[in-house]
Amino acid sequence: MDGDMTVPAVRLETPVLDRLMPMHLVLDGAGRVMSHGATLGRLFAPRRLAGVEFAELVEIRGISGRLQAGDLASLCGQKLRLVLRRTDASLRLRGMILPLAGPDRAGWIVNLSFGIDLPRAVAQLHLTDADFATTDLAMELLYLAEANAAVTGELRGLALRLEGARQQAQEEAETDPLTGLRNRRACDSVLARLCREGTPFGLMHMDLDYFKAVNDTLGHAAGDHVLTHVAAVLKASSRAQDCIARVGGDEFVMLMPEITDPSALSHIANRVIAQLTRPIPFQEHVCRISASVGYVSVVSGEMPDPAQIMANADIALYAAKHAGRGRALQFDPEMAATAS
Amino acid sequence: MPDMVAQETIEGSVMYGLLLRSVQAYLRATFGVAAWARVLRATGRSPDGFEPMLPYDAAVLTSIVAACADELGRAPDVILEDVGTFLVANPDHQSLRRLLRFGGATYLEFLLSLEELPDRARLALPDLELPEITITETGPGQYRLACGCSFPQLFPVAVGALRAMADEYGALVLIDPDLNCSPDSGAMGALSVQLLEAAHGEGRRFDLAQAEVRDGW
Repeated sequence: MDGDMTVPAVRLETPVLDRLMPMHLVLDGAGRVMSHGATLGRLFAPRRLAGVEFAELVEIRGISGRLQAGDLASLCGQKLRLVLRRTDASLRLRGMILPLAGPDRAGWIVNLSFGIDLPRAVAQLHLTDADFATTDLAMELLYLAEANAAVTGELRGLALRLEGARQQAQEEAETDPLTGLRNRRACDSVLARLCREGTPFGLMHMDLDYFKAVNDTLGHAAGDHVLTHVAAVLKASSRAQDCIARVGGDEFVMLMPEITDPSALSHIANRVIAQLTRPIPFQEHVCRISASVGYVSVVSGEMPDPAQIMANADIALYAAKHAGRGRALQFDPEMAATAS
Repeated sequence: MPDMVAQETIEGSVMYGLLLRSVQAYLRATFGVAAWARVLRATGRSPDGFEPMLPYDAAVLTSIVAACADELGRAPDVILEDVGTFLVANPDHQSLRRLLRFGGATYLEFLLSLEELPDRARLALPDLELPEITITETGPGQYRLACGCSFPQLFPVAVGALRAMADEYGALVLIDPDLNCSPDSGAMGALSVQLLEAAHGEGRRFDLAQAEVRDGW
């Protein structure tokens, strides 16, 4: 349809070309810069580009060796990936090279653009709105990058605050508010994990002796004071990785990963009992308690049942109570036979 | 942690989250954390305040702004306008200022770019529904900004932000509610913007590349 329409060759003054394509270069037939757009000039400022070979300014990816003037014809119309030859900025560019019109003017026009390196280029070269063609989407891309960073930053803040709240809620759900020790729920989950992972550990189940008497004669405030004191003694006798829990009114459990030696467990238990047997001052009174402990050692290689372990510790604890209180006993299968 | 999880997440709008967080930032920075804590207490909210990226109901913003008005002894619209100015002018909150500056190199370009604002916002945050904005030239240097405002409280915030943006560009601009706005035009409100001098003062520097500072609310 348009075969017989003659479109005259478009002739543009250099300033017009510059407004439309601020990153263009006009090369002569030998590939030397004749003129260029203002933004392209900024890429190399303060260097003057007139007469400089195109190959000196950029490296074309995918071409082995240095670009020769004779190569330009073969690159015509291709999508070019280029790298700026500047020691301080290895910016990647995209562009296209095409021949100039007219038989009298052998030469080339090259138009370049920052692809994905736009934000880097803007930061390194201090480009402004005026450095881009009006039709260029550079500003939109920068806007989008920044808007996304702002949104992501807010979402990250939200995620951190939620995580903080989640941790706090979990801690509160697993903490005994009076003593600050873990509660039964936490103890159960740590015990289940140790059993599942096959980690060797020692477990002590401790019950206070004469605690009811303190509560009955001196009141609940004295009872609370004693429980807080017990918590402090247990914490002082344990390591950071141990789980110390208050699992009932005056019942405590210590879970100690990697401690399975019965004599070590006995030593820890007896030291705790000795400390708890000392009189505990409360206002003008003195509270006297003691403690009984049943302990179990779970060596590696067993796939123990958490409920069974707790039951065994319980049996040992009651054996200790029966044997006269104020003492620690290790679980022994014969105890189970006696108990049943 | 804000008490957002249960009540507001179903029906509300993220726009209210952003507005509530803005009011919170403005009050805390300008009148102190104690004043903001009193506002939260007066409205029965959790002392943790609001999350900008979560949706809240319109009623939450209404009650918070009313409590701020009681606390500060100022009209609700005056407070919201100050919030708008604060969001643009406060040096600790660069993101909104910067995003608006991308609208153009001059105040007029910026003003005309506001028609694109809802779509720009959606690109970054698809949940965010900004009201449609129309700019009409009504005379030399005279513009009407009409806002199909589904969020009435956004309007005074916009007035404050537009005034602060004029300072940002160093432009001399008069912004007033447009009383000629006919109620049947579909616009909830309109502003008359009179651009007296495009380059009246210095304006603030705007570097396209973002500085490595993170905003904190």
